[in-house]
Amino acid sequence: MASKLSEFTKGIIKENPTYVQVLGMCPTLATTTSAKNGFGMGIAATVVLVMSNVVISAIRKTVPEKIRIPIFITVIATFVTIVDLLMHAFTYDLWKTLGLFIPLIVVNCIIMGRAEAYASKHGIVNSLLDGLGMGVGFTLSLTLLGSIRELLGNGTVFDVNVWGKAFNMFVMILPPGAYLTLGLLAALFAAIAINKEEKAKKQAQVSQTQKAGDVK
Amino acid sequence: MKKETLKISLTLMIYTLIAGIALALVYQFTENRIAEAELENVIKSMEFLLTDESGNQIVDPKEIKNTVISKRSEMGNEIYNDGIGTVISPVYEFQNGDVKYYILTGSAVGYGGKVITIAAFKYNGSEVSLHKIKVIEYSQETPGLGAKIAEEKVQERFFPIPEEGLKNGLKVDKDAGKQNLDPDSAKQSGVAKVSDVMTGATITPRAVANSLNTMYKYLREKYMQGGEK
Amino acid sequence: MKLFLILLSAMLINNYVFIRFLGICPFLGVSKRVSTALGMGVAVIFVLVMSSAISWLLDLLLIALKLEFLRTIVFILVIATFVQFVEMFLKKNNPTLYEALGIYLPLITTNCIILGIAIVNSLSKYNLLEAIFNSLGAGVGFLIALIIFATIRERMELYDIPKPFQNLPISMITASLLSLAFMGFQGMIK
Repeated sequence: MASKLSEFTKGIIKENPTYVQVLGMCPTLATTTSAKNGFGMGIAATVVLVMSNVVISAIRKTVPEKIRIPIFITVIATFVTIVDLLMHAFTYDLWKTLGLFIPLIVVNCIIMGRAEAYASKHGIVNSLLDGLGMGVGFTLSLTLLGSIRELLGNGTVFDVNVWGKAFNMFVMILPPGAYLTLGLLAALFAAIAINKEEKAKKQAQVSQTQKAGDVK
Repeated sequence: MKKETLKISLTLMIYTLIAGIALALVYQFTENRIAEAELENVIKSMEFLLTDESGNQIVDPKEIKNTVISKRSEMGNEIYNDGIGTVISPVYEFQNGDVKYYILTGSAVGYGGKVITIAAFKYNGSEVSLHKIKVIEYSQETPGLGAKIAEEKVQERFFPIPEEGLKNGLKVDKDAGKQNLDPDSAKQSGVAKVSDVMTGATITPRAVANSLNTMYKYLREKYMQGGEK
Repeated sequence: MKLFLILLSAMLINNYVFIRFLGICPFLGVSKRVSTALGMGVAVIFVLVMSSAISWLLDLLLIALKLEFLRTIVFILVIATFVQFVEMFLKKNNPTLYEALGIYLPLITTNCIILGIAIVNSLSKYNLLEAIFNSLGAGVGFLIALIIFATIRERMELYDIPKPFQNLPISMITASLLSLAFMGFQGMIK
């Protein structure tokens, strides 16, 4: 059970697709002008990711090596179109806001990346968990980024007024702000990871000296 | 060698075929709902356009819905183009007592593509004025800049405009050279003051103004020819 | 005149990397050396223009047959095929570049710029010439962005950057400054 859980959770922090693996950049910067948009995009991408991971894992033994990329692309594109049609029909406003970036989920490197690196080599259940974890990680990253940009640029989060017009850094909602926030968040993640690494190293050293002490 | 290529091509074709069929099925399933969603969007916009200053409906939503549905086959055709903006069919007419409301859809080129606006013009027997507008298409405009046209508080700078202001062409304050007017006085003279709420983006609001001018021109010409369409 | 405006807009004013956020993934991976950046940029321009043209033609067919919902699939398969051609061509004629680009060559397929432009051309209802100019402008804009970035990163390798900021963070912050600079072009078309 523990290993199944880790298949799911690794996508959230340790192998976070946005800040650690550096995948799926395009929609990350473009759709995070607000928390709601980032969240919507994340969910749409997660749905496609999970479905394509499952299908690709299911057909992995029947796909000839040479044409696996075109076939993966066909599978992913099909699911993206399905999500696009469903959103157009049932979530019209969000569909309109996300616009061009819904079909662009096809070229979201996260989905292709996971298909190639994982789903094509693992069983269905694991692929599903992997897709779900990565998707959740992606959605959280987008929502975080969107919330920060919306908060600093507009004074609201998810349209809920926090400090309104009191403090507005307009540039946050613009492209430069996107890059800046992403860079700083990535640095934060890296700093946390480095900190963990150093702590683990120190622990290892301490237990080494303890062992040496015991032997004596 | 040939057998392998054949096997590969066949596999690829089969997968593509399955994908195509799956998509066709989903499309069939969603086709109607999508058309309805689009229609609902137009109806919602028109319900907003046909409210008065305090937000009360001027025309019964049921009537709006029926009118839109009855004219749905006419939607989307370009019926007028003056080189600056276009008018898109159909034109909707509503009567409320002595006052007639005309709803027109128009477009003009913005920053990255078409900016489409639905506008309600009010005719009280002697004067045609701009009552309310809603910008419904602006997806190619720059997020955070031109796309701010989506905000209600920005669109409010474009209405209401009396005929005095419409006659000589509606302009954004930057183009009219009148940046120091307050929003309401600006409207009286046919100026939309947007420079304080849309900093650094003139092209998008200008497109809205252009399309409104084209719609007004079309309405006046068609109306003055004295006929129902 | 309109063509020139489309070109200029795609290249600078609405630069697809810094303003419209397309084409970023390879942007970060390939921009470490100016020579690789140049090679990647040219390859992207080629694939962009050619696949946009073909997609535009196929789009006519899709619209005529009322099969617009197949647009995404058709476009992406066209792009994938083209990239395959470019790969085979480079492997034979310029193996050094082929090696240098490595994994990023097949990844041109997933470069959002290429699919993005194909879709934009279709949505904006450009005619064939306008579509080609748009793709050309976007590609050149991508190349410019890539080269500027590569030049800066080549220098950054010599600097002492604090550990948490290495790689992604400092690149993003650099990109943010470049993006700010490119926003200066916004005033170019009145």
